[in-house]
Amino acid sequence: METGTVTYGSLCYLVVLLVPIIAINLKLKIFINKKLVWAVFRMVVQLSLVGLFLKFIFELDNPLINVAYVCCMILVAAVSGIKSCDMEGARLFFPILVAFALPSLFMLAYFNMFVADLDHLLNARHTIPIAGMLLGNSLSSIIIGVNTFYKGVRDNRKEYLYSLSLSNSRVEALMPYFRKGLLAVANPMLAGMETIGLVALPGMMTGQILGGALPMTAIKYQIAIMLAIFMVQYLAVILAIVLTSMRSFDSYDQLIA
Amino acid sequence: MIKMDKIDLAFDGRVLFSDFSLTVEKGEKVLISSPSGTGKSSLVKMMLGFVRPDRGRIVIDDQVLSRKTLAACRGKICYVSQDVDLRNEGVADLITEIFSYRSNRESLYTPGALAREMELFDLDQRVLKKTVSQLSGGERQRLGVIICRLLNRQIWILDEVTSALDETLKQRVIQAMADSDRTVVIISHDDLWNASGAIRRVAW
Repeated sequence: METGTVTYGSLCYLVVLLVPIIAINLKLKIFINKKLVWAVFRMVVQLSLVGLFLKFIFELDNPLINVAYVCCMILVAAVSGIKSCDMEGARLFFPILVAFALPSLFMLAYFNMFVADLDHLLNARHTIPIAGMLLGNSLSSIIIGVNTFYKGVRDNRKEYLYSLSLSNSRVEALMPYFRKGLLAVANPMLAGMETIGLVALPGMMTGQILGGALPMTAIKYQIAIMLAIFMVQYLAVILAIVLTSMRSFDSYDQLIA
Repeated sequence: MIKMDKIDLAFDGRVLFSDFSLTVEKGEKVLISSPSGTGKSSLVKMMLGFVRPDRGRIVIDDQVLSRKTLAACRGKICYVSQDVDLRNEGVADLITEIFSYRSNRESLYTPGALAREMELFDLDQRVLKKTVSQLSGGERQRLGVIICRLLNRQIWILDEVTSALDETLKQRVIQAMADSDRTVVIISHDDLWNASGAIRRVAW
């Protein structure tokens, strides 16, 4: 098999293609060029550093370091989650942290133990990429789910109050917005699962195949990962909404602005 | 019984109530008909524990409204909001949901009772098959009143529930409220409420 190797030199061929896009943006007065250049620059630098770092970590393969690395990833995820949700950090940091950590750590251990059947549970080559996959997906789903939930309550304040008076229970009155938040996450995931492979090959599988893995191996991993991601996202959203809402309403059941 | 005792409330720097007191006795019907913008809705929201007064206390049937008694107090009051703010879903589903709430297990709701109420207030059975946004203002108001009656709570608070009804239906709703043994607080600009001798009028 002839595996073409991508080098930094060959990446330049792709970067050059950005030039016409920049020109179009200038012409159409779409002011995102600065952002675009900065984003590409950051991507290249960050990934290169991560690559170097991972190489080092994989060679060490020390369980303690691996766990510490995963903990850092969780922290970063929680911080950026809080930022993107427009939430008050101090009050909601802990609930969000738990929402990221619990489902991902559980699934990570479960996955390594039963699905990947590793001899050594905290093997860096599995633990770190899988944790990244789970946390990255939790991040987007927590942002969508939490925002949908609070937007629902905020935009429908009268509805919420009327139903609070009818039900006399905050949990019952919030349930419709909770369902909405959860569905906003679950529906796209299920749609993605349904059409996976028909339109586009998922990123991880593409990477594996390009990297030289057999398609059937790549597919089995993909199915395993999709299931793991689905469950983690689902649980993470539930936890994020439930735990943050415990701190987001005052004792008279009003949303704290 | 509802007792508001020396209430102060300011909103966005505007004083709505200052040293305000009002007592509604058990079984009494009170019509609040102050002009718009004088805080009628805020008054209702204070009774329901949605808005906390800056000062003063609110007593609902001998219980002072506080964090601890909030659920007990709210459980005694049935509120119909101005636009009957139900979620935009199927009417039949919403009714089932409302009467399956844990605190509503002792309501008067049965499909038969619902049908009788709908007949009393001239509400077509087809309404049940519609979604809330398909209802007219008058249909919503009657639906709100019906839900309120079936919930069987001791205190009713009705915020403009007759504004979109025709004369005959207004009379029917007013009569039903005046005849009930409940404590009723009505917010309305409708003169017809005034005509009923059973109702005390309050304004400020």
